[in-house]
Amino acid sequence: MHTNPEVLALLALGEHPVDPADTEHLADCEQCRAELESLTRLIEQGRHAPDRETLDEPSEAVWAAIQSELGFIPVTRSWPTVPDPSTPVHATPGSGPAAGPVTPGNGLPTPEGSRPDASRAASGTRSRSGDPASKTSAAPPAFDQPTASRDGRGPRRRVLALVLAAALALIAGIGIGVGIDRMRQPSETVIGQATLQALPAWPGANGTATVEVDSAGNRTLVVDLHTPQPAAGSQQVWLIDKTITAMQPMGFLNADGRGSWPIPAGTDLSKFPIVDVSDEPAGDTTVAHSGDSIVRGQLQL
Amino acid sequence: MDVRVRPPTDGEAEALAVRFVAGEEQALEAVYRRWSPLVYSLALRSLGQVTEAEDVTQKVFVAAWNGRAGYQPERASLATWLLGIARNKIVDAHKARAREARIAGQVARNVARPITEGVDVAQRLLIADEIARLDAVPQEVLRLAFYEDLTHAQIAQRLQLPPGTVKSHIRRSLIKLRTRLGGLTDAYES
Repeated sequence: MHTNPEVLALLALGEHPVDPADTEHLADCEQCRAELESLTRLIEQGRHAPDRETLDEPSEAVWAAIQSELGFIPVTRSWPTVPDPSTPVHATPGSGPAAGPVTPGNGLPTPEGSRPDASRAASGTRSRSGDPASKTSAAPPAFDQPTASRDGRGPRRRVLALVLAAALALIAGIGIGVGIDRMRQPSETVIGQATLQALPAWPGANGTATVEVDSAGNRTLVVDLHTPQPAAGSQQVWLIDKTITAMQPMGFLNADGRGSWPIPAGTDLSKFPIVDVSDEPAGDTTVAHSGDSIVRGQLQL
Repeated sequence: MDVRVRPPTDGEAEALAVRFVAGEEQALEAVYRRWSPLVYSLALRSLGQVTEAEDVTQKVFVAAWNGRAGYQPERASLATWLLGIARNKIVDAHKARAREARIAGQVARNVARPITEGVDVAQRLLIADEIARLDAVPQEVLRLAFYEDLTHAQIAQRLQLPPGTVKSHIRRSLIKLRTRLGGLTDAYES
């Protein structure tokens, strides 16, 4: 009879054999010896793994970049993009905005039903073992990320991407049309847009960000913000990089929630694609971000 | 020739692998959610730079998706396969760095080290991750056995469990770990 598998496991862990019959059998049985060696190797590796080593998580922008590169059209938003606002941010301590939605905007509001599960978002933890798709399969198509495919593969996706791009262009076109009537010079071309979505502390807030370029190549960031409740402080607009570690202050919004600023020639918008509007307390003299973001969105360039 | 007896594979991961190979986009997201911390942590420890580690992570999952037809579940677990791709991408990143360093006329001192350490770090991270995924009681049992070197009798006493239960937890957890780590060495050799 072969050695009891549980006994083999204990022997592999270094316990002394209790039954001499086990020792005898192991001397003769290649199969049991092989199993013992396999377990011993495994345990050795396990003991070299530091206890409770924690893994780092890549920023949410990586997944967005993968989807974009593969030309995926996200059907469901199956992961919390609105984590606990108290989640520490990997930026200068105390100066960073809370992590929040970095959803490439396209002029379409996200339907309420596809918003991240509030309870999971509030817990601030990510269940990594579950099947995220099954949890949100009931969510309606969010249709909220255009496929800025760098090298999208497969004819079907390409076609779909083109159709989507056309649809978005149409929506953008309508937006531009209205915008031109209201405030813009006809010589300006829109080269980037973002829908700004509310962070958890600012339910109902929304906005848009537009990047225009004039015939001389000067770029302008135009931001329009709506908040249901009046904000106490001043609203400052920032351009933030994908990892939410570096940011550039652009300026403050006017009392009507609108503002526009020239974008410095050296600013690479593909590296700073996130538009963020923060509420800066009245009388705040520090130049850093207050950490209280109202809305946020990613420019589609 | 592989003469090892492969234990039954973990059902959940197996089903996910099937969906992934079939080209289900949601399966890629599930695969990404499950293993991107592992891939990213490995890249981050090797490259020491968030941007590069994120870049590698992106490349790994894009390459995995585009090369999913080449994944052979009987040869390696999905985690192992992904780590194999990650290792290649990390090596590429180090090479690119070395190229840049040469261009800049600098000595690329840090090139050799992380490549040779790759397997170890990957293995360590993978094991730590898999242990952390065991259920609470078996996890505690295994930790006590691994890191505090307690015998099963001591563990039984410490946790107020019957010794038989401890023994079976140990055995089952080890098999589970081995399954999930399946083929790591193979993947690196190929």
